[in-house]
Amino acid sequence: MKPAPFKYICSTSTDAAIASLAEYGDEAKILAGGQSLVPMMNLRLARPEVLIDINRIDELGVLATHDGLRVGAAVRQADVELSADAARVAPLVVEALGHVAHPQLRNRGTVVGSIAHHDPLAELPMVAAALDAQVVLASSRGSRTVEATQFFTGFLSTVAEADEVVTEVYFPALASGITTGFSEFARRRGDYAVVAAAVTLRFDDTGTISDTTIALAGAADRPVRCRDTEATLLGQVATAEVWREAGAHAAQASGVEPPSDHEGSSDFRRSLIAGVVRDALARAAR
Amino acid sequence: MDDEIDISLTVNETERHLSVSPRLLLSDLLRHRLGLTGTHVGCEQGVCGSCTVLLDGRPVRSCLLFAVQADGTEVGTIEGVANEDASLSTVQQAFSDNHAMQCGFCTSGFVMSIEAFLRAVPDPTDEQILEVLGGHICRCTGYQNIIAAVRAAAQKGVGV
Repeated sequence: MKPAPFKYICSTSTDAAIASLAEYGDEAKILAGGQSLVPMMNLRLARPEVLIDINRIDELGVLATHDGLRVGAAVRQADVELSADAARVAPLVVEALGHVAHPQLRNRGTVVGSIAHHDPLAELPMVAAALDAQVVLASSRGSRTVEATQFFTGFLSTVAEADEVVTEVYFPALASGITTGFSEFARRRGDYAVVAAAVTLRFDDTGTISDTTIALAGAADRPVRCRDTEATLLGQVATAEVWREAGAHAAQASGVEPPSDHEGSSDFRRSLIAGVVRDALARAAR
Repeated sequence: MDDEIDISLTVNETERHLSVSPRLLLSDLLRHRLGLTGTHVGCEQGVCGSCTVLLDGRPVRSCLLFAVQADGTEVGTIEGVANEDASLSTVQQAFSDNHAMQCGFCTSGFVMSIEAFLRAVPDPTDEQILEVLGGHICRCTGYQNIIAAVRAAAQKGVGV
C-alpha cells in the first residue's frame, strides 16, 4: 500500500518547524528518521495531512557530550551508537542502541524520535527512564522540559501537545563510580523487547549499594521504574543471591502489570522480568 | 495538497532532475520513474531489507524515505555496483562463487549493505557480519552461503 497524499514542508530552522506546527496542529506530524512513522503511513495506519521534515535543521543535528549526553532531534541513532564520546558519557544509551532494530534502520532513525514516538517495547524510552533523562519540548508558546518518567503516558502516547516538537533529549552525566547494565529478552536480535531492563548502580567505599535505578520495558504500557525494588537494594552487597532476589521483587513490583498476549502470559512475562533484572544488575556489577 | 516538488539527486553518479509528489517513496522513484528495478520492494515496512540502497554512502531503506527527502543527495543502487568494465564487484563475485543467491529477490539489498559495510569495516568479526546481515531476510538460502560470501569478499578486499 502507499501513503495517502500529504503536504510536505521541509523546515530549515526550529522556529520555522514550530510555526508550521502552530499552523497545522494535529493535522501535522514531525518527520525525523521516519523509521516508525513511514511504515505506519505505508499501511495507512497514520494519515497525517502535513509532514514537517526536520532533518535539515542544523541546530537539531547537534550531539553534545561535554556535559552528559545531549541529543538533538535530527541526530541519527547510528551516530550516537558509533560515538566514542557518547559511549564514555552514556554507555547505557550506546549499549541499548545495539539492540534497536538493525544497522540499516539506525542509519536514519533518531534517538529523540524513538523516545517521542514511544513504543513501550522499544529500548530507548526505558533507558531514558533509567537515566532520568530530560525531554525538551518546543512550541510557539515557548519551551518546557519534562522528566522522562513523566513524559510517557501510554502506548504511543506522551505529554507532547499537538503543536509541540521534541527538540532534544538530555541524558545527565552519571556521577563518578556509577555503572550501568542492560538486558533484553526478544525473539530475535533487533526485535522489539518482550521485556527488558536497564539499571544503574553505585557502590560506596564499604562495597555496599548506595544508589540504583531499575527501569523495565514490557512491564506496562510505558517504562516502569521499580522504585520499591531500588530501595530494597540500598545497603546490600553485590552477590548473585542479591540480584536474584531483586529480580523476583521487580517481577511483582508496583506498576508491573505485564500483558497476556501471543508472546506469552502475564506470569511468563513476570518470570522474564525477574531474569532480565537479575541479569542487568549482574552486568552492572561486573 | 499533493502538489509536485522539483528535486535533483545523483543516482549511481548520474544527475537526475524530477518533479515528484510528496508521497512518492524513494523505492518507487527508483523503480518506476528511473526504471532501476534492481531495488526490490518486499514489505514497505523496513523489515525485509530488499529495498536497501545507499544514501550518501549509508545503507538505508528506500521504502521508508520519500523521494523529496533525497533532494540533493547521492543515491547508490545495485545497478551502480559492478565495475566500469561491467565485471562484477568483489562482493558480487563472492556471491556468485559461494552460491549466495537463489531467487535473487533479497540479493540487491544484501549487496548494498555489504558493499558499504566492508568499506567501513574491512576486517569484520563474525559478530559484526551477523549484525549487518541481520537487517535482511532471505527465504531461499538459509544465509550460510551469504555469510561465506561476505567472508570471502572481506578476505579479497573491496577497495575504496
